Amino acid sequence: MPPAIKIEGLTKRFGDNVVIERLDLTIQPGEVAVLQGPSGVGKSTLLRTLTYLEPFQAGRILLGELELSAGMDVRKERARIRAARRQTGFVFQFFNLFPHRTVLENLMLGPVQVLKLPLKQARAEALSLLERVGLAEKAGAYPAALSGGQQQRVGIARALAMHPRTVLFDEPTASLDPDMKQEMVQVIREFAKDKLTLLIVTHEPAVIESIATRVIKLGPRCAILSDQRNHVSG
Amino acid sequence: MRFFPPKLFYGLCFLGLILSLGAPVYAADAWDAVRKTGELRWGGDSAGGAPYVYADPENPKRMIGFEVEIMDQIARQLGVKAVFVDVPWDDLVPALLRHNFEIAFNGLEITPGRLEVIQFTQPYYFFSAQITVRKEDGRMTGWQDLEGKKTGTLATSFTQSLLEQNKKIEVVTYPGPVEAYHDLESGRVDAVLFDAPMASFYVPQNPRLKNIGVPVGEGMYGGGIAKDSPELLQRVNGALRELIRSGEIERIYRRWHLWDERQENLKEAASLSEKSRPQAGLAQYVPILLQGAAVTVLLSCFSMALAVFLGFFLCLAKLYGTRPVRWLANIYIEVIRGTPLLIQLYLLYYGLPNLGIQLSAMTAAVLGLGLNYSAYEAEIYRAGLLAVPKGQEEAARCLGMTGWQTLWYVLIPQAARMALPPSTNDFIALFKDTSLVSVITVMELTRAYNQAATRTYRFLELGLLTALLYFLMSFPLSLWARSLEKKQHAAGY
Repeated sequence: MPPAIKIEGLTKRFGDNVVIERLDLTIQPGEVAVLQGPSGVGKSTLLRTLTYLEPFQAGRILLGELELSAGMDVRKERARIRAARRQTGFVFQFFNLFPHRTVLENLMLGPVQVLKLPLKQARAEALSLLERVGLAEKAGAYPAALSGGQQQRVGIARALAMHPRTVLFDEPTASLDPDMKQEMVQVIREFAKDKLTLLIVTHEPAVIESIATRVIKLGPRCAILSDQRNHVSG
Repeated sequence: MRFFPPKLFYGLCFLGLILSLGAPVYAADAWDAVRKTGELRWGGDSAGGAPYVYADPENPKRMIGFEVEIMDQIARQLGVKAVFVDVPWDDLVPALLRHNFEIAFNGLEITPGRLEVIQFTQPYYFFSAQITVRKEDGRMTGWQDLEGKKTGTLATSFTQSLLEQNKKIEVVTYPGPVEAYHDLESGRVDAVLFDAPMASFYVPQNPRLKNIGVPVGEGMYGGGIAKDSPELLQRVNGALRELIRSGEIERIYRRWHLWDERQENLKEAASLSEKSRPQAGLAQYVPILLQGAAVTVLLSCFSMALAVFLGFFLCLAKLYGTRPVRWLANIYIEVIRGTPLLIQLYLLYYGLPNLGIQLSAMTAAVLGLGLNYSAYEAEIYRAGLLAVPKGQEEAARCLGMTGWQTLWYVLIPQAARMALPPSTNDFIALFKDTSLVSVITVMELTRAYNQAATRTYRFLELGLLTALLYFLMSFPLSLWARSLEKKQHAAGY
């Protein structure tokens, strides 16, 4: 089985500012890896390059069999980029739910429009995901009516509705109140059981202690300072 | 709504103020002013005004025409100087009542309707109306052939009412003869009916037009004078009679090739007997206004649909197009926004036929308004799209959506909400701008008002009624937009 994510010689600059320099990193299927490091070292940028929200200047990224490389022609490779995004879920720090759609519609939009699932099936799957994140009764509500923690749970469910192989979390608990962080940790742990590959940028100790199978500490320019296996009690 | 009563109160005060300002400021005989200043100001329309009064082609600063010569003679008789005041023809009588000049002297037909508001000198010319068609048009031989045909004529003139007596004739009205003959030439109308002096001046100059049949109808031109000036009337009549008796007026008409046996009657026509009271009630103009209102609504809806459609693609071109596409969209928007709508309408309707492109008045109107407003709509939509947070596009992209899907399912619905209030604003503005297309012969509400008012001289009542009609049509639109905004607000975004 190929690695879930294989990063080779990745370099990303904003103008003269080097954010990631010649990074090599491999994540195996089923791993729950946490990226740690002071703010400003480029952790979020790294996640964004993985789904090509940010193009990069050198190196390549393998997502399973799909390759994204620095020199590729973005116009010609649109389909490849979309395929990479389909199989890689993204959970944002500030949720980015679609405000004009109900919770249920937020979950169904991707599966119906992108995966072309029949409405009935998409709806059934979305409802069961909402059940798992404990928000079944909010299916008809608009995002504005939800608390921050609830919105983030919808954000996670929306990413999972696409049946991704890998889910990227960009500081999923950073904008939440302390008591909401705990419920978020439980939701992530729930999905970690699904044998998904998770790559999480976070400082949340509970995530690191109870979920992570691997902790990677990053320094300036995304240099790997340490990379440790972590034993979690299932 | 809470503030409505005070607003109504101030509104009524304002209305009262306007009404009181409208009362006659002075009632002295206009002759006093003429005697004091030594000038007799007379009103006419020099645009397309040959052979009555028009700018000398060799010296455009100088006015020539048979009426110029008659007025100079009258002024000489009275021992004063004649001064010409140029006003649009259909504004002649209102301008006279505003004291812009002392006498209206420009092919003004003596009609019962006009006798209600002004008095006339004795007639100075007996005219009839002449039908003109295209030279190659062999089917048309006379008055009976006008039925079912589009026939152009001068707005608010005697010939217009002559044509309107036959309901089967489709009447198109123009501000002057030049535009009418131009449209006849290009085929927009099938025939043109004007007073014979105009037809005998303009038509021989144009190898593609011909006059047909015998002149129809009969009327008299007289000088219009305000009712509060009996002394001026008496003096002008005296001068006119002297010109007729001495044969001076015949010499003038012969020079202009306007003398015919009909003019022999000038000598007998002493003064006009008051004709029977005319009909001209306000009520008969209400259906005309309502019909104009219907045209206005239709025009607004079609133009706005076009503006929204074009504006949408312009906005996409400007935001997501390749460099040349962006560049073209930018040029279009800047040029359209930077030129007056009125000029755009003139170009579309009167200008394009020179390139061989012939648009009907309604098509030109919808196209003009639609193209014009599309530039504004495009900018509104662009602002709306740019105001959607960046994270929305990223979230959609992360689900693997294509650019179009992202736009359609995520960005546009959110941008639409922001674009709705300014867009409604624009629609209301467009709705009122439809009044501009009256210049290209579309009989919409403002033009209907203008015609009704210049015939009845009830500018205030008809004006208020017309404004009320506009308001009754645009206010529901505001209410609808407001309820739509509320609905979205209730949905929580």
